[in-house]
Amino acid sequence: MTRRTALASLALLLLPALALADAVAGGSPSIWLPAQVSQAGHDIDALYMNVMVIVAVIFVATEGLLLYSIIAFRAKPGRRAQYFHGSTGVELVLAAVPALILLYITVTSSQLWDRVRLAPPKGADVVHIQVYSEQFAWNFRYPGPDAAFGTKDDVMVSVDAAVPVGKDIVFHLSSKDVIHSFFLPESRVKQDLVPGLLGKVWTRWDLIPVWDLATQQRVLLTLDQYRAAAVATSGYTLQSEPNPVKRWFQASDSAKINYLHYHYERDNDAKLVVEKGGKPCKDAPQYVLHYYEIGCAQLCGNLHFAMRGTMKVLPPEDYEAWLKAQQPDSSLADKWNGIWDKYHPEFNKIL
Amino acid sequence: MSEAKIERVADFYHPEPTDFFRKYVWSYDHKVIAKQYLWTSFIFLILGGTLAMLLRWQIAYPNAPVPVLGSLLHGMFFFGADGSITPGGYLELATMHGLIMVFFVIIPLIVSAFGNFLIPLHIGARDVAFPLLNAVSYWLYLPAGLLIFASFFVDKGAAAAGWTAYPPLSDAAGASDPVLGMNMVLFALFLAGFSSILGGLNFLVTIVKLRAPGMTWSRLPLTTWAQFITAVFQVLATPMLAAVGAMLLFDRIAGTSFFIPTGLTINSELVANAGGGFPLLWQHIFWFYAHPAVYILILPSMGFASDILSAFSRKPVFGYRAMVISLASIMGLGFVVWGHHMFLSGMNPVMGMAFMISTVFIALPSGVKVFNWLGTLWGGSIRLQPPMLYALSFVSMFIVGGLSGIFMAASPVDIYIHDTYYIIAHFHYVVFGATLFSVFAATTYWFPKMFGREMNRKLSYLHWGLTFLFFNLAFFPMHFLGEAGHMRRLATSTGYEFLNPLAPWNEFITLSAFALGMSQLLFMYNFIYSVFAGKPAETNPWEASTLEWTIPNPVPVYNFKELPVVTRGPHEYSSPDTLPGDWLPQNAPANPSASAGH
Repeated sequence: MTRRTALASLALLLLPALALADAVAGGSPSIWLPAQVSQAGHDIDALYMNVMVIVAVIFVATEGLLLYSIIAFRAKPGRRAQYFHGSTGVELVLAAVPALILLYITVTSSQLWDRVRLAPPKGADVVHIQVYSEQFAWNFRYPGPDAAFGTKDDVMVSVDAAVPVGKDIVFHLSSKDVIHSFFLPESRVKQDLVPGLLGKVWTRWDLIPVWDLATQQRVLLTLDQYRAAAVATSGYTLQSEPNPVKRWFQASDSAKINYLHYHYERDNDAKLVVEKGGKPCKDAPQYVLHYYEIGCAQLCGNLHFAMRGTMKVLPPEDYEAWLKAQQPDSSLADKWNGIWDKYHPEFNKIL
Repeated sequence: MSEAKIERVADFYHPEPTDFFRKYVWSYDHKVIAKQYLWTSFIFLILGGTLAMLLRWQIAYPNAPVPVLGSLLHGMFFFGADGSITPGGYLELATMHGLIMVFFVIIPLIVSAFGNFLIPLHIGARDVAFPLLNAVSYWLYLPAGLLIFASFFVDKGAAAAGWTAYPPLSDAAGASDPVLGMNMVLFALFLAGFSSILGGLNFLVTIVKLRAPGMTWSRLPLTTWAQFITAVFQVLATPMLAAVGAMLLFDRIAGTSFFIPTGLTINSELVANAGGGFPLLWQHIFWFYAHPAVYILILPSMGFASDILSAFSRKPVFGYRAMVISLASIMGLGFVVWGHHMFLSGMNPVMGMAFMISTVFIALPSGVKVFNWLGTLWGGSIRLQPPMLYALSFVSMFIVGGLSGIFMAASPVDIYIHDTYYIIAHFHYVVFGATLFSVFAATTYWFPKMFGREMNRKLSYLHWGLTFLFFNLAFFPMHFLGEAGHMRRLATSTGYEFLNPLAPWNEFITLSAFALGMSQLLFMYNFIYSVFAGKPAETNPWEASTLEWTIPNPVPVYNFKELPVVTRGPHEYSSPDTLPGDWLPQNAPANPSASAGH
């Protein structure tokens, strides 16, 4: 190996090292689960942590033994390897202990799976929403005051949805064309939407996401905190701008969008609406109403990456007002009535 | 020419070829066919790796023109007019990277290349049971590969619906742009699938019927056991791929609707053949094949690792019988876990529960194997030569990949990490970190026997070090991305606020991946140079005890002058009867003092 090869190899090391230093310096990249915001999310995270602890112990033990063996048992002149074929006793223990651990994981997972997949919430207080995905948008239908789908008072929206806080929400999922996947990351909700099949996921949000204008971060408020605070529900837009610090190895302007900074800004000429407890107020807003992002998590075509939606969580009275404010849209109605209702009327049963 | 003794049918060998065509092109010799597979797969490895580099460029620098290649090929293939990668092009890259790596690199390498070369030598036979069928297998695989390669050049490009090709995206007219490209992929998979089935059948019969006298089942090297179990997988599972591929092809070109449900509407048009189909049918049948396929991707590697770890620790494999039982258990359980790819598919959650149980428990035999590899090292006299370093990395990366699998086996956790980079991290750790490292191990280990020359040791050490480092730098952070919820197959993640803080990690991963790719040039150079001009190797440079090391380099067409009579196990290193050395070949005469190794 020449010095040139060695130097070239060292140079290779520089690239990722610089990128790592840059990433860490430029703001801590999030490497952990995003803070969970829904009921089931807490349980899923707890299971994740349980498995993580078990896995971490096994990892340290096995990799540690590997490393130890390489060092302690390396070939030395005059030393002969020990000759043994194994030990049934050791084998049995090393099989039984993991089996018990795996049994534990199975049991805890089954119990949670049962809760999140096999037992939908029932009752009059549950909010049912149909989700109809297509290339490349999310469509939502609410049953309206008659609590039945496929009737004249249904509310149909696209891309941006809303749900009331503190209520169990059941999403009825299907797709118009290809398979998509309804993914709400912080809520730990994900399920494929399959054409010809009705899926169901459910969750509950007990906190309302808003954006704190002072810290330019999202915060979660309880219903009471929300009602006590001054929240702008319109007149503000979320802006993003590239992080001003230039990265020397960024190839082009497009790469600068790798380091975006989000903040809400007042619209220049929009009418600012600030509410407190559902009633307009003159106070300067503390917060702007925010949302959870909906992502598509199953390859669905060329614009799979652009299939974003939003989910607002609102106090009950605001939710009712939002439903009433939605305008009918004939193209949406065509999709729902012309395809979902026409080919799959059985999907409209609210059980 | 007839230097070998022919005493019975099993002694028969095909005559020595005299012309170039019979020697190198249409050969019945398993060793030549193995090398044909080896070279072809390595070329596909370069292609698949390049596709990955382009993918990583787009992820880190969305919509930026690709340097050099972008300006040369702008407007063609997956490049837009400005030389950047288009969204459709990105999906082509992702799809073809997966297809090429699984079907045209890994399976041909570990099963067809090394299996072909080693099985007859390990069991003391002159060739496989059906040499003509063996040649046919290769000549089905090569056209399949050429068809896949050609699909890049047709109108609308290569398949772009993911390597898993879920319908209706891969099925309904208008859902996904590439039409001819996808059909070509399906034809290619038929050819490759038949190649695989015939190969598996060949290996099964060979191992059952052509073992030399004394080569009992419990004296088989673990490489051979692994190939045997893999062959069972191949023969039983691959026909399902043919079946489901046929159904998809019929939907696409013959107007059937296996997978297209009633009322399917693309944009605003009702799909012509919509009616009565069920998209999940594809997923069930496909994964019924594809899950065993991923065990086909790992089992032979486990065999290589066992034999190499034993030879370089100078002691027997710890728990040989448990190793064999584990291989068989993985095969048995491997057929009943496919639903874990479908936890969130809309499948009945009760089935999800059942699949979760089988999936969690398939970790057990793999865990037993890891413990036994550690037990093989314990108390050994470890020689850290290149094959051993690669084999040790195999174990270490397999531990990471296997443990990350437990998270997704727990189905409620899978709700969150399914279709995220967590999954990508998991399978790259097992397929690249474990299997590809075992390919490097097998190549450096058996190179002297295959080519009669040595690979350059220093280059091998350097390649190992750089690959190990950059592989981990590139793929470990993907666990973090998955934990943060970063979805798969996104041409760009800049549209999502929650993904934006992860962009620095994407950049870091890309740069590590570029360094990883460049490090492979060392291996390529080492391999190619050594084949033609490497230092001539001795018969048994590693002092290993299995039968292939008892015959000269390069291996004559008839393999063994006299069929060996096997008297001992394959890993009897450091046994007392090997004194004063620490090894004897498997066919050593019963009186060891006459020919103990040093």
